[in-house]
Amino acid sequence: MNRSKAGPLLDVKDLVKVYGSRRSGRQNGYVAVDTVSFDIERGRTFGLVGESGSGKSTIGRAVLRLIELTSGEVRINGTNIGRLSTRELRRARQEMQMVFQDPYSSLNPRVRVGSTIREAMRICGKTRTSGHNGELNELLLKVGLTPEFANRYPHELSGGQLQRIAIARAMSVSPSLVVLDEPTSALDVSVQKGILKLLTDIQIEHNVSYLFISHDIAVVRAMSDVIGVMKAGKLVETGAAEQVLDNPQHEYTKELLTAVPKLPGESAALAFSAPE
Amino acid sequence: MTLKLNPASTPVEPRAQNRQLTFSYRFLRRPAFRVGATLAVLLLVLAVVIPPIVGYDPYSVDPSVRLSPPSFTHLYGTDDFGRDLFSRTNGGFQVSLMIGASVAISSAILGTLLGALAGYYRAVDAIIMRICDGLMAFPGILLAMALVASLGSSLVNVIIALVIVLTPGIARLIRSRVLAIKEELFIEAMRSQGASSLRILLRHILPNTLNVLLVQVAYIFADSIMVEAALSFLGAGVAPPTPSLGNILYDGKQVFLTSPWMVIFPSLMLIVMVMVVNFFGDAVREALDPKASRRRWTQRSKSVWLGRFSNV
Ligand SMILES: Nc1ncnc2c1ncn2[C@@H]1O[C@H](COP(=O)(O)OP(=O)(O)O)[C@@H](O)[C@H]1O
Ligand SMILES: [Mg+2]
Repeated sequence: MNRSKAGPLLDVKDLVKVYGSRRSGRQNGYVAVDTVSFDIERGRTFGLVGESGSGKSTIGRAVLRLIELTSGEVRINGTNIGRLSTRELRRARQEMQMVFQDPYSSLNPRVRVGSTIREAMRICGKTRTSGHNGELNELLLKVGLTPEFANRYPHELSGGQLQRIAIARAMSVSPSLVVLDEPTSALDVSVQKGILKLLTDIQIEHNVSYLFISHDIAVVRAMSDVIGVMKAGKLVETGAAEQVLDNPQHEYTKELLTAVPKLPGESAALAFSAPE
Repeated sequence: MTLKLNPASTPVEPRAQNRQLTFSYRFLRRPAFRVGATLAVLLLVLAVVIPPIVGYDPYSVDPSVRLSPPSFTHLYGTDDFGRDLFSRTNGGFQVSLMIGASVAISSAILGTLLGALAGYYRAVDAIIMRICDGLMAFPGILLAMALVASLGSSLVNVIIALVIVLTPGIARLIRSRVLAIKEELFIEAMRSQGASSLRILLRHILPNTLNVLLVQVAYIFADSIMVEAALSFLGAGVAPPTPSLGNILYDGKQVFLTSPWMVIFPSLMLIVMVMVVNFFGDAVREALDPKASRRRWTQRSKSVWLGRFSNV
């Protein structure tokens, strides 16, 4: 794909997802995502925040076309991914990667983590041979691990280490968009900080865009350039991070913000400046 | 804002403590495995190593010693044709082993193939599963008998019949595992990587069905030994003069009151063989699920003694 095209990297238009209905009939299904539109610029982070069940993960999956849309359009670099054939879609997936909430179950328990990353590189045709250990080691170091980790099985790693592996796998194919679906929600606060810092570093170095999903507005605040607030499948408010946080327009956003404890110590712990 | 991350902040944990978690480590330490392995070695020595040393032909007929009781010349005695029962029982052991191994391997391969297709590709699911349901609707032994009757009773046909009877169970099992694993997050992660369906099925789904397959294969091994014996005992299995534990019993039942050794020795052989295979199956099963192991162990051991046809 041509990376120098003008316009946003990701453009989501009128996305609708209805679960459990017969082909595009909206009558008897459950509307998980209702006419959502947003876009993400290159190298920027769009933070999607909202309570559990508001449809955030559904949007994340729809953006990668891991689920079929009921209606609407998702364009990456101008390409409508809903129109791609299975084969074209598989190729397009190198442009967009995903990191899941539960790092342990997102890795095959029977495969060494190094092989998992190598396989990701092989799928996208980055390496024909399995002998590219230099690149693997470099990746592991980049995500704050050591090359020895490559020979481990997932059950031999901690949650934070596993999430670093998952990030390494996503980054191994040099994507331009990574969907981060609650990447730190399963982790301790101290580990969380390290992962967020890592993600910020990677973004600065590779100019990758993030769709950052979280129910935790403090984490979203630390990561995002633009914030979208979800409620019951609808995007109720979108805007620049400062604008949404400092001057919320929608009642629900205000509610979310007051729910965050503003203790001095805690805000310092989570005060990651967004990349300038 | 460039942050250098210190690799030392995520130290490599000592590896030894995780060894208990590997399947083979647990398997080799199961009491069931150790008992099974000991018995297996004894059986092999008795029935494969010793016979050539003693040197009797299981087919040589000697009417002068018909139905003679156990002695130093004929350890287990002789049968109604005056053939050495020790050699015939051991020959039967080898035939059973051959049948068990052939049936277990063939139905594992066939069942995995069918189960994987059914579980992964919806289009073929209905067809394959209806055929399996149909085959499983008949009692296993009756179906096997009918098949052998129509194919003719030979060793190969007995194996074919058993494979037809036992494959649907494996296909069902693999299908349900595939259906479950297909929904796992790491499979979705593979799809999001752009992996092809074939790669996902072969490299990520099937290896994760291997453990349950192994358990089932052990039990199928035992089942096919039992069913072959039952078929031969009913006169619908391996045809004489080829020795099989079942057809020795078939001949022995008529002379049971006067010459019980014709029933006793092959029966003991059969029981011990089936036990050994069940022990291995139990060990795999326990190694897979350490928490539930104790309860299942007693249950299974009991079922061994009662003789099991649950899969058949
Ligand atoms: N595969 C599915 N089938 C039916 N309903 C689903 C499915 N996935 C999610 N849902 C429903 O859609 C809604 C939104 O889910 P989700 O996108 O996971 O929300 P979030 O990530 O914000 O917690 C929830 O009510 C959930 O129960
Ligand atoms: Mg979610």
